[in-house]
Amino acid sequence: MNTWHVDASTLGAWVEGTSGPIASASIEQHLVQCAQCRAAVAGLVRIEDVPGSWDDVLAEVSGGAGLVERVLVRLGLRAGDAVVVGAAPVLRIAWSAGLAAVLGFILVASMVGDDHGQALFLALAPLMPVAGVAAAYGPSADPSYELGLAAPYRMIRLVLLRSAAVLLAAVPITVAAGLLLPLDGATGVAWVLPALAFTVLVLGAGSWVDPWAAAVTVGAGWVTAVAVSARLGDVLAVLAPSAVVGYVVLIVAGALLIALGTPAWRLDGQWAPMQPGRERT
Amino acid sequence: MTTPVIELQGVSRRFRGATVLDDLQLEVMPGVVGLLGPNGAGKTTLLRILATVLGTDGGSVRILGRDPEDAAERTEIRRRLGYLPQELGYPRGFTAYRFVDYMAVLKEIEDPTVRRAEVRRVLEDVDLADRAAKSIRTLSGGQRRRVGLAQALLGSPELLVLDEPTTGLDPEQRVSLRTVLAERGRASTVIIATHQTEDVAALCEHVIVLDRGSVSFQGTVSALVAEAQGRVWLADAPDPRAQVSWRTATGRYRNLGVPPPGADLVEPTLEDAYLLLRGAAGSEVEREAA
Repeated sequence: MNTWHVDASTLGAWVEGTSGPIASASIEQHLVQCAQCRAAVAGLVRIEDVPGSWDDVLAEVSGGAGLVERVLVRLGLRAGDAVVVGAAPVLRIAWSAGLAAVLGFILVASMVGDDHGQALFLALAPLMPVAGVAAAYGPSADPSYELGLAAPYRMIRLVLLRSAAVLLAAVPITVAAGLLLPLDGATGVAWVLPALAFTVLVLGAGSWVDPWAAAVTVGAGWVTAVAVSARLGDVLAVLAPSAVVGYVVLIVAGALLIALGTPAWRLDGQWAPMQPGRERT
Repeated sequence: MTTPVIELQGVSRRFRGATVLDDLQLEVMPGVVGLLGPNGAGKTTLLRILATVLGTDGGSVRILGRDPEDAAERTEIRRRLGYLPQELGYPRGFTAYRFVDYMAVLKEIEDPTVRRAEVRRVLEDVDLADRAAKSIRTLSGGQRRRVGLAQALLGSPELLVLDEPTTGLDPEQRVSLRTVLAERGRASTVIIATHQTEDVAALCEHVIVLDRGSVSFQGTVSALVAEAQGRVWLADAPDPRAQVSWRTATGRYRNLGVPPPGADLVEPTLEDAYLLLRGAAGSEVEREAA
């Protein structure tokens, strides 16, 4: 039988959540066996707060926020936007895929020699963020895509948030891989410009075609360009000043495409605007 | 005078050269409306247009007094819309709670406290509160369907567009769902596409029957049933002249259409009326072909 009871001010602090971890643990241990103190707690809890507390408990035990979401909220993103970003399946595999790519680049480069390793790196590195962005939204990537279309949340916001998250996950890892490899000059970071150009282009083209189709087309073109350059004995030609101008033009063109329309496909993958050029929500 | 919630005039839609909706005229008033029709009649296409995820090839559409062709008005419609597509996938690894929470964000329920309360409410509405923490992958087909329904109920939408909502539900769950939808139908408009005539009979005041992209009937459920009065017979044998005939659990044959010899006239059901309507359409096709 209990011979002591928690005083009212301490119980009040516990109810308010300000009693601290050690005192809270002690109070909770005591409450389990003391009916009088439990009754005192009941008098301190505002009944209107109970449903909200239950909602919080339900959310916590029901897998409300994943790791990606918690990190994004800590980085300052709004909780709702973090939920939208965290729902993209590609983001849950982006880091592991990136790390695997780093190891793959290093392994292959060491096996095939510097020149071929460099060409391989150049061929694949810019396509990593492109593939990630293409896998972050659209009917091919999102099983509940049609529900998203029928919701008022702006599609362009969803696409850009997820794309930004993919770039933040994929680019630093790939840059790290480039810096670890024995590449010529600034090749280890210079690939970022074509990567950015291709990503913006895929985002823009995604207003009219499935992003996967756009990514595959862009990827095929890039790999061909790198292969031809390597064949001609100057793989770095794809990063020459004239090529850099081309990437800047692609970035501008992609940005214009994004401004002209936002993605909306039917589930069967065919572009079906409500009216040409007006699918903007 | 009550304003129609949905008005379609001359709406057409084609897919890969085939006409799915053809010069569709439709007015939907508030309440619970059943949408019946055989496979390929255009039910899903119509619902996708009403859900603003699909455009038309011609005609005009007004939903909740707004034009879905206009971007701003389309967003306003979406703010007042709950939609359950026929086929719904779920993000891998999501729990029921997390998926509905995600959809709540897409429906602009931004305040976390409000969102949590709303997610709990809709999960309770579909009897899934005790499964909230379960991965959707581990749920049964009927439970997954109810997760889809839960997200459609978020925000108490003015218009609920549900494509085959009772698919995969057991009888108890269907009755429970009918109760939820009937309650919702008092304050909003609920459109349900289904093959289950008993769901329509139990739940809907109005029914629309689609056939090859056009409306073959629109009116009250009782009006459709009335069209079958005097045309449903129980006999000891199937009648070759009947539009439809099948053996019942009692061993007698239910014949729709002309009376077989010695048959007993019985009260028609909505299913009888629907089958007669479909049979009439088939006969008409044959006559046209001839």
